Amino acid sequence: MRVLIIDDNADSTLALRMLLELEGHEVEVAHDGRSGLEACARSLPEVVLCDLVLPDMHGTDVGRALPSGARKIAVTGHDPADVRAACESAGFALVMQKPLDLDALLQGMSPA
Amino acid sequence: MNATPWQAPGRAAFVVALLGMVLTVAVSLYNLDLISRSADQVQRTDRALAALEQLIDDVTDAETGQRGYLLTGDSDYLEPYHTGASRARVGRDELLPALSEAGIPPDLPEVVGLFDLIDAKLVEMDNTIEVFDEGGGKAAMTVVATDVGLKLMGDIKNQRLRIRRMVVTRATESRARAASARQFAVASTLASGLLSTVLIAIVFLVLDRQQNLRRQALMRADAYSRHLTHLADVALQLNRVRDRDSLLGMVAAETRRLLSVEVAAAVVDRPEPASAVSVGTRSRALTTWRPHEQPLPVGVEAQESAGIASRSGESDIVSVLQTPAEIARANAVALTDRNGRVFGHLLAAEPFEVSADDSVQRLTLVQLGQLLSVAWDNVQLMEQLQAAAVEREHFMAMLGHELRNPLNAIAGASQVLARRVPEGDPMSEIVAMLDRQSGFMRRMVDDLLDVARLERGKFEIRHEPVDVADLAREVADDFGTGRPDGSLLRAQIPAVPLHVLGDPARLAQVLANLLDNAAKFGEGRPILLELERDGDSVVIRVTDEGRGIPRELLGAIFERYAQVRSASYSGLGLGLSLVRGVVEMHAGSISVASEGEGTGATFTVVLPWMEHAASTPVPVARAPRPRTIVVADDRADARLALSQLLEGDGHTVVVAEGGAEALVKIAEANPSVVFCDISMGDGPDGYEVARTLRADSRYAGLRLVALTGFGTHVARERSLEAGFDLHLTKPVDLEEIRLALQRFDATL
Repeated sequence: MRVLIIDDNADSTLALRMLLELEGHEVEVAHDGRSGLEACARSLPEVVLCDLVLPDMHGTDVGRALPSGARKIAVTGHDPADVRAACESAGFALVMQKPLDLDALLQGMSPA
Repeated sequence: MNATPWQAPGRAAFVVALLGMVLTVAVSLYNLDLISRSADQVQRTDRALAALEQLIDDVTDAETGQRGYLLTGDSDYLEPYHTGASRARVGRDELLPALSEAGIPPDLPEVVGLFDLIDAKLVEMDNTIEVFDEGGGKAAMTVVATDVGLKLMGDIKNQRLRIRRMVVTRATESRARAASARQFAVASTLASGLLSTVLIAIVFLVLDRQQNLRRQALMRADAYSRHLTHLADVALQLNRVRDRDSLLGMVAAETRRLLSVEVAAAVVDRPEPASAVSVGTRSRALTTWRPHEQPLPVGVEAQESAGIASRSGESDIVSVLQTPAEIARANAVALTDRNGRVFGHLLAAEPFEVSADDSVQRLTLVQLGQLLSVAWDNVQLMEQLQAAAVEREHFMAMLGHELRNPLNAIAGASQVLARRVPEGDPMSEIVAMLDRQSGFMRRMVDDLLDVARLERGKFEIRHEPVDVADLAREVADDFGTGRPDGSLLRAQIPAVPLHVLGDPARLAQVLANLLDNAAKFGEGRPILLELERDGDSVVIRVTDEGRGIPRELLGAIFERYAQVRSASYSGLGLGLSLVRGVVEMHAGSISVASEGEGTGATFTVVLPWMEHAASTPVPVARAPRPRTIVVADDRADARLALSQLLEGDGHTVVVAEGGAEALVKIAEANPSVVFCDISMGDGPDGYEVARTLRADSRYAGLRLVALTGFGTHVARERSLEAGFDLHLTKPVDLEEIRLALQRFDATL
């Protein structure tokens, strides 16, 4: 699958990228909302993993701006219960909490 | 009873009236005596007069006889003469005592004269009769012709009149005395009657007055007790008020009511929030304002209050309390915070009436002021506490967030390394350590979040029948196989199911946390996990023989950060507080017992037992396509439950009782999915089974699902590392299984 990771934490994205690539996915990384949206428009990923706290815009705004074709997953360090409603209204299919559980992530990326 | 000023005149009047009555009674008695004596006197004078008349009659009778005899010579006349003369002699002797009794002394010249005359008359009559007898009629007539006898008789009669007059005068005097005595007696009786009426009136008035006073005292006591009750009510109500304006309004209204004043105001020396509340009929307040002569001692510095009033911005208050002098005349108490700082005033704008209740009213104002001060302080403290709680919550959320980002990178990196570093490489040990430690850290952060959720009441648990016995076995198994000191655990768990209503994952977390805790402080000595049913409860006990808990820490051990307070323990101390929170959400309780340091500790969890566990969960997810599935579990109950669930969805199920049998059955049945328990008694455990299968190229497409009661991330990582595709926490519900199988459907 083509996966786009939008997260400003370079270390975090590096590890996640390597893991997903090990799982056989094609991964692209953007470190802020604007470049994330540009990357999305360019490479049309099937899954977008988007951090909620980005340097230039909030993750929910990114979520709203993302095309509906991709499966959008919000990633946050906050309590998912606190942000779930906002994320759902921004078009995210899932909210996942950091640190990411690879198994759960893979399951979330390709549900039945 | 204490003497009060009104009693002195009452008592004096009573004494005067009593003395007067005694005096008038004495006067009456004296006069009655006088009346009776006067009556005696009258009787005696009557007797004396009668005796006198009798004597004169007797003398007259004797004379009549004498004259008859002398004129006729008939001796028949001698008879009345002798009778009269002798009776006259007797009567003469009897008259004297009668006269003296009537108050006429016998030696009075009139009495002596009368007696002499009578004696002379008797002698004269005797002589004439003698002369007649000797000399015959002629001689006697000569004597009679001398008229001596006649003259004597006339003198006697005159004398008798004189004496009679004297006696009558005496009698009249007596009668007059008796009459005046009667008047006196009547007057004094009337007077004593009047005085006794006055006395009765006084006694009645005094009694009535006392009764009135007693009634008034009772009424006052009653009113005062109602007053106190009301104040207590006010205090209770104030405790419940959480905003400042209501507080000020309430106290002002109560001040007005309890003190019966037109205007009362609670004024606070703060720019924010609205700082003055006055209650009362404000327009009337201006007209009923009466300057009071003496400012009360509890008043405040006039200048200060004026400043407050004008600062308050409440025009009504300012118009009522315009000048410092007026404020000084108002009744006021200062409101002070717990540091003694004056932060405002409670004012009762109208001067109290000067009465006996004045002090009560003043005290009431002081009390209301104190109540307001305390309530104000409490509101402030409450706000500070709430602010602190919000701040802490925010901080914990931030902390969790900030920790999760680096943790995400580390955990991700360790997973990448775990996949890249080949087995047997010297670095693999370091990679495993990295994996373990990031797992610990992740759990800590999870705990932190859970505690924050518990605190905010956002913690939610599922409510479904859970076999705690089964769960405990799973957790114990995982503990035994999942960590280096796992062999220390000994479990005593009954073979029968023990159901409670709750969240299996959370209950597993409770058990795991307690076991972790026991291992952490157990100093390498055995740990005992016991489970039993006790009446309507399921009792879970975890006992260690480690360092124990100091007595002073026992009470606070379930508090958050309890360990932080004790220098000899490390960790955040969130685990046990989380355990308690989860247990309490299951309507259970947790307690700890320890004989002190070095004696180990026993943690006891009591959960409500559920007699009839609902057997079939409600199916929600769509049934996946049928497959052949191998279920490997050493416990018959668990095997049966899972195979029934799977067969219900149309799958073909083959069961195995252990690791070795599982490998055989998988080779025979060629399943597409295997559900495998991790610890299965003797022989290969779940990890080994997974590793064996993954090493065999024949089973490349086989999906492996690990089933354990240990829902921690460490356990999960370990399963995945061994080659499982999925790690499910027992008891697994149908929904989860279907989701897992659907996912396999999609990817196969």
